[in-house]
Amino acid sequence: MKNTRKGTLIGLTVILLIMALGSVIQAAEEDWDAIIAAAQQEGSLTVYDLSSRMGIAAELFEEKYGIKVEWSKMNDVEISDRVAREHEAGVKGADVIITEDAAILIAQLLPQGYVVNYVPPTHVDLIPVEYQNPLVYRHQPRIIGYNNEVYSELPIKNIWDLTTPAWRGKFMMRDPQLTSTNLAWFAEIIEHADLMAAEYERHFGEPIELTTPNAGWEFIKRLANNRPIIFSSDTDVSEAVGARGQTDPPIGLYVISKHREIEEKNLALEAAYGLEPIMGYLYPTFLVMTANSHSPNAAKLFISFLLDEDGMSAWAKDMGNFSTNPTIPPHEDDPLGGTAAWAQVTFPLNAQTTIKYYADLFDFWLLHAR
Amino acid sequence: MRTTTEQSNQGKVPLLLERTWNRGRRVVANPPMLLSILLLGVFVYLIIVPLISLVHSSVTLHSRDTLRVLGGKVGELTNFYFQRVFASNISEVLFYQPLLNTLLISFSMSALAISIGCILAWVVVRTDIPFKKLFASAAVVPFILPSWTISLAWMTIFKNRTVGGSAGILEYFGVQLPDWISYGPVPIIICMALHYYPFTYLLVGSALRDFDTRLEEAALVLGAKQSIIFRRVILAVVAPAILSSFILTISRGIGSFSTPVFLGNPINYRVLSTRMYASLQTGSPGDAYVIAIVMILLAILLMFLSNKVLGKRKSFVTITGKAPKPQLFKLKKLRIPVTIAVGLFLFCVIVVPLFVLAADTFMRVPGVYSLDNFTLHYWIGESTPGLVDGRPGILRNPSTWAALWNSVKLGISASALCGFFGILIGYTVVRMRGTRISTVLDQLSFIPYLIPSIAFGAIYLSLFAVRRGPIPSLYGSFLLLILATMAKNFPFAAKAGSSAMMQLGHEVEEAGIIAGAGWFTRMRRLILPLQRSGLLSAVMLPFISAMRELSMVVILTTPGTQLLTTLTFQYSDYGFLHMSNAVVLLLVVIIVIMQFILQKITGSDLSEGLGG
Repeated sequence: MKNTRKGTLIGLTVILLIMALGSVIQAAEEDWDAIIAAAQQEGSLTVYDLSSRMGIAAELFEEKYGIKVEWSKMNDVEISDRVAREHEAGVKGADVIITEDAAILIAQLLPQGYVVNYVPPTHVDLIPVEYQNPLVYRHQPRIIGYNNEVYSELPIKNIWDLTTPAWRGKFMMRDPQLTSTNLAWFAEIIEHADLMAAEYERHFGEPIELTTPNAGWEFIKRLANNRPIIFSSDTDVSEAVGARGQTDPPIGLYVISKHREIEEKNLALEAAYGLEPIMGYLYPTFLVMTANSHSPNAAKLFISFLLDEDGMSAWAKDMGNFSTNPTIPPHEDDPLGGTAAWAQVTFPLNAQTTIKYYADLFDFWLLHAR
Repeated sequence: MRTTTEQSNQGKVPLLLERTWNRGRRVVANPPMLLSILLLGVFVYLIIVPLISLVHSSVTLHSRDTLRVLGGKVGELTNFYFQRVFASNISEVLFYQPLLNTLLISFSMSALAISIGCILAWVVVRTDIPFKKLFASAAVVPFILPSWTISLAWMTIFKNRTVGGSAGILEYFGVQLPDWISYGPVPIIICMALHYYPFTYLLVGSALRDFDTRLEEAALVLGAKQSIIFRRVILAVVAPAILSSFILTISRGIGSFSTPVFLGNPINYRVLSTRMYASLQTGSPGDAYVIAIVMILLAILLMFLSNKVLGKRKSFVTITGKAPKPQLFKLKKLRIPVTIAVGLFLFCVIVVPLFVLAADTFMRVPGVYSLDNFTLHYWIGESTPGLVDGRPGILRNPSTWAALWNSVKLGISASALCGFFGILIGYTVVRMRGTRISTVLDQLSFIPYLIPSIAFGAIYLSLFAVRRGPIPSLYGSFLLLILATMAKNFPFAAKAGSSAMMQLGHEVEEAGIIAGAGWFTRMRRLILPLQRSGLLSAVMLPFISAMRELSMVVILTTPGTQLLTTLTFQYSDYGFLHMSNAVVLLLVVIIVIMQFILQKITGSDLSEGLGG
């Protein structure tokens, strides 16, 4: 923008000068070497995260910069609650949070000023603009998977099959009350109610009879009534689905990166490629620093580190994690070859959809999942 | 004091001023009075203010719910939560069903626990069963263990595949188990009864021991039938003990959290405490605070009703001097079968659970019980990717040691404070006996007992989550854990303190006064040294209870203040049941050692004397 104005009216040149000056000052503020030095002065930072692989990233970070990362694994609700409470209390708490709870982040944590969005100068030209506010550092597909020791091919054809008696008590997922992305997925299903209705009719050969406002709500109600089995982690779900030696294994919804454990744990897992109309959802993971950070420079450095190949390697070494940094290619084993392809076979989550349905959806699930 | 008041009634304004001045001087010059005002301040701050804050938090809008109440502002007054909990389309899920479940579990569990306790007490005290000493001390062990030990063991044995994951031992050996055995009310009731029966066992046992068998003989001589003797003599004397154990047991039942969370949550079977916890967890603290209020009211109601019933009962004073050695009931032919039955029962509730938990920690792949699956990984293994998310074994894991250190730190600081306040409360209550302030202090110190642990945690969370005027936010601080643990244990500390002080005549202090010793000197040189043993029991009980407390601290701990108990809970939440089992075993070892030390120091044994 500045370049286009270059060489125009003198008056504008003055303005430009002022702007340039301003940007110089900003650049001085964002002197990256100074930030690194200050970060090393700070010596440590605290991170709240949902992924256990943060441990690996933390070690890599300490190795590279000598800054210790104290990290805690907790769920979305805990993260947002803790950040809000720590802010109100003014105590030393998290410096960086990594959250999947887009609705709370956008509707609450950011506007309330508990956290601030920060895109490091090292990556501001690299990360696509749509992932910069708030900053997304990776995407993951959470997919429906089945046991391929018992089923040589996909045992269900359409996602509506999950609501049939044949799969009663045999669908596993993380608790939607604690896993914001599962609730957000439901919101997308409601948003795509017309598609859900059409799929129902195509699959069962008759139009759906509604007891709820639309086919999206109806799907969630029937799924809830079909006694899904609720777990607190993807590990639990993938192990229960993929354990060998079962006769009547369940179907589960889990992050596809759990397929990395197939060999180590001797699991029989396959993703539901070809499931109509979608095989799961694609969700962003956000990376923000807290407003009250006691180690703001270390926080900035850590954010930059996770956007880099070094930091992302903790996740990118296995299939199923996609950095928003385009210089980091998808894993070579990825069957679809990138987020764009995954977005075609899943519902990509949208924070505004979640915010729209959140209040009703939460209680709706509580009411019907008994 | 009464006469001064009457005189000054006839006086004028200057007199009134003088009276106030005099009264003020009297207060300052009177250490017990000064102390009682100070203690009153502490109680108001640690008990009354938190209660008010709980109510306040239940009628103000919380941050996440701005997504629900559109246009609502955080902190504004609202009846949203009361309406949601009591009269909305999800009230049944949030409140009514959990309430029914709580009542069902508390009553059935109490009935079962009391039956077990009574039978065991009678067999151990009144029959000629062998191994009495062993049985008598073994019978109280389940209560010393953390309350969820048995539930974890139950899961390890009886878990079925309904909720997925690895199945329990029985399923591994091909036994298909229906859901109602694996989860829900039946196992919850059994596991809780097995933890709480020692209340009844101890109370009824000591009533039976003190029971003069000559009463029985007298009835027999008078020609009463066996059934009448049992009903009108034995039961009448033992009934108060049974009733008090009922109150103790059921009040624990209403607030109980850990057993229902392990055995109920997998099939969505909720009681009030677990529903409250779920509401806190899922970002609806408002709902949780309303449920906490209900739990407190329920506990108070129960206490009130039982006081009515207990107060009405005729008390039987059997002044016969020391009862002769009771005539033991001869089991005759039944002696061996009864011995085996008691032995087997105790074996099943103590040895089996611990053994099963231990065995589970050595299985590399959970649920596969074969020798080639044996591993020490979960104890001493180094971090291996793919096994429990790359966590090292618990003895090598810094988080275990950090949690252990936190537990010990919490235990020591909370119990030291408890002992300190216990003695002060005891001193004040006894010295000021008969005055209103003494009664108020006595009653205030009892309030925490009425409040179920998890609700007590919620109260502290509601108060200290944010800064409120002069009250700082302590969320995430260790001090918050100390304060809550201390306040929760006030009733025991105050009881120990005042009963110790009760036995100390005023003369000792008077002698000190005559010798010219100031109040502090009297406290330091006379009162405290004389109260050493009382102080000790005021300290040790809170220590042990702090070491194994889960339901209160589970909502107050943060990653930086993890305790051993919350660590087991967290591991089981992640699905690392064997890690959780290993930490529980570590905890059991520590608690048993502490209990042993306590008995050595105080020379008292919980089960003392019951062995005959």
